[in-house]
Amino acid sequence: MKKPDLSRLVPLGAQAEKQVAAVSGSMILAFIWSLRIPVAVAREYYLCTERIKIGAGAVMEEYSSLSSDGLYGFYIAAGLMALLAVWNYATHFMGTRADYFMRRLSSKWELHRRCFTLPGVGIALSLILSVLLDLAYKAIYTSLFDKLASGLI
Amino acid sequence: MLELHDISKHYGFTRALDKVSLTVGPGELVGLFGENGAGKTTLMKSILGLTAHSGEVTLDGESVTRKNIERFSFATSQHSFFPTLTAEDHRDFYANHFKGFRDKRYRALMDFFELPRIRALGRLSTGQQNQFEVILALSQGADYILMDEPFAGNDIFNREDFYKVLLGILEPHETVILSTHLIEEVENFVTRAVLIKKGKLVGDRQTSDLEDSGTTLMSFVKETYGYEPDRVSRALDKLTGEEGEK
Repeated sequence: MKKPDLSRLVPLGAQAEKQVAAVSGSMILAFIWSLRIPVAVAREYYLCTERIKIGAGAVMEEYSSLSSDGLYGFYIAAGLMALLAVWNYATHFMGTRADYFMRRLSSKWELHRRCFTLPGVGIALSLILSVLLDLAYKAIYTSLFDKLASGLI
Repeated sequence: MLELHDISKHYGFTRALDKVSLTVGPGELVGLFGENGAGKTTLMKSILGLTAHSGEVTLDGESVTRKNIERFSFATSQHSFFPTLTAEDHRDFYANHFKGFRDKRYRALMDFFELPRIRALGRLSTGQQNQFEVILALSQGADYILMDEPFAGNDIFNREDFYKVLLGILEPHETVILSTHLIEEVENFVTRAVLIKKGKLVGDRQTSDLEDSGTTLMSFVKETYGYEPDRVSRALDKLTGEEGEK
């Protein structure tokens, strides 16, 4: 399969591979950081079951306190993507006025496309993934909570 | 035909352009002269739509928009190329984006000025960077070529060569608007002299008219600008007089 030409999505002279790596790398790191939520949920569930086993009552902690800063990685990634967009735009003013050239092109969106597409995708991915993972982790929490509450243990 | 109607521009409380109206036809080689801060650069940016202004700029009766912006090219001493890219990278990009790109002219000028093709432009000397900026403007395939102090930093031999090459390669329909302080150097190059002072158009003469009247371009500029020839001697007299009083 032919690789897509990503060079049209970054400023002239910038390396598309590096920016794609930055976007995907920050998503992966944010995802790894978010795994502390299901780990915390599983640990809480395990502790509750242990307490039940010795006859003590147990109620799982609120999901909000278990998730705490688990999704912050995505918000930080979104912030970094915004900085990348600013950087992409700023490169047109570093030792040059390349913005003059970009603004003289017949394609109105050339400058915007090159500066903002990849960071925009990164911000959208960050927000979408944070919502989807939050829903998934909450679903895991709810199923374990229900299991505990129904006395299946 | 490029027509400017009542172009005005303010930077805060500073008036950079004051109702400038000008008509430039095909094939003209216009020298745009004026002191620093007179409004030459702002006028060029206004033509290209690079700065907000009041008044109207039309090209063959139509406003300058993305549709016809390709008919203008711009060489600026601030440089508008990408320093991390090579000359060849720029050539490829121009060839892809400007359907009238003149590859033959580009290659001939690159050869003439012996510019490296595969070195990042940021690593070239200022003189070479200026040359490349102008080469791009001349090769884009534009009808109206705007140049703002393009030779700042180039030596005299380089500049003279450039004027000769320019006169040799320009086609009859190609128009050049050249902003420069090097008035005497471009005297034999421009066909028309336009003077700006404090944002106002204060002079506009065909150089052939100046020749007929036995006036040099420099005299015309000095006269229109109200240059006082004895300004220096008066200042020196005053300075030496002050020292004498002590």
